[in-house]
Amino acid sequence: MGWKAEFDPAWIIFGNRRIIGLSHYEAEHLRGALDMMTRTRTRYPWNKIISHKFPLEAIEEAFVQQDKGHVTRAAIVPD
Amino acid sequence: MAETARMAVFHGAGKPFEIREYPVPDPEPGAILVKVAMANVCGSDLHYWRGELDYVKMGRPLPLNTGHEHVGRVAKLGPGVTTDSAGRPLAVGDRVAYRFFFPCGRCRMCLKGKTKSCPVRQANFLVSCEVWPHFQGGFGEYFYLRPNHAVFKLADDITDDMAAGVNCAFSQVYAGLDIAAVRAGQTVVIQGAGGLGVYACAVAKEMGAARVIIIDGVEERLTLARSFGATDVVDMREHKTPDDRIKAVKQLTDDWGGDVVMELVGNPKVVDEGLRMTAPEGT
Repeated sequence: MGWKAEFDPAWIIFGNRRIIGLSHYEAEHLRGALDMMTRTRTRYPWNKIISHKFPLEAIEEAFVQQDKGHVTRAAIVPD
Repeated sequence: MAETARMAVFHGAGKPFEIREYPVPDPEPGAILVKVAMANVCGSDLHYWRGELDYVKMGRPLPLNTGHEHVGRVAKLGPGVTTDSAGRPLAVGDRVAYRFFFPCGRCRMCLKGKTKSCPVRQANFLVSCEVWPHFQGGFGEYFYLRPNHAVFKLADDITDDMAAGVNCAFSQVYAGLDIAAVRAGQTVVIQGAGGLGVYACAVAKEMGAARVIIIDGVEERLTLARSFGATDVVDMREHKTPDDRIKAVKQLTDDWGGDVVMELVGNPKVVDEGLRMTAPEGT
């Protein structure tokens, strides 16, 4: 991507710290996440993550609004 | 099948989405056709939309059917599909959550059980929507769940609003905290209270963290993070510099820092700060 982050490697070495990169997940994690949601559905407001809904035709507007930070997480509803 | 359905097509950064019609695919053996109920705009969607991830330079096959964080219901089962991945009977109309990418199952990583690192996986940002089955992603009426999928039936009390974020943001932070091996009584620090950060608060808490410290500067996000289990807040409006924030985290942790620190901002500038608030032996 060409992105660079600057940090002092000695901080990691002498503190026995580690960095883990992560993209994607195993199927087991999806199952675990769903089980956790079912188990805790009244403990956390799971339905509050999506803040706004847009029809498919307004997808560009959804991106513009989320980019500006006016919308925390937009959901596109195809119909 | 002559039936067609709508899709929002991505042509590259700076170009508006285009609504197009494509033929609805008939599922091959082992596949499932899903009717998309809801598809979220994820932080990574913004990265390519803004051009920070340059799909043209990366050689991605445009145009694409983007959108990968979604939920839907079974529209048609391919021959041979009778259950979900947990073995529960699956029928047309069932609401389902599923993985948005399809590891090959045969490469060195897949054989090691590390399917998330499959270099030849198929996903909506790797296959153009011009190519059958067209409905590769979430921003359209349908989604084609290829053979080798992971799919789970949703309980009735898990609504679409609740489940839409499960197959990306929620599973992603669940995986992260699982791999970082959070243990009972530990401190987890989370940089950024967007969708990922908010989910991470609840996951850290449920995995046993005694202290979950959230760092952000937007009131509504901090409030949401608290309702998702954050025990402490480092407010960026108050702690304006990296040094201030490191000090605030140290003060909350007897000068040690977090056992696990998660960077969920999506900006390389916060990496150093995150490392410096990580305790020795921390992740």
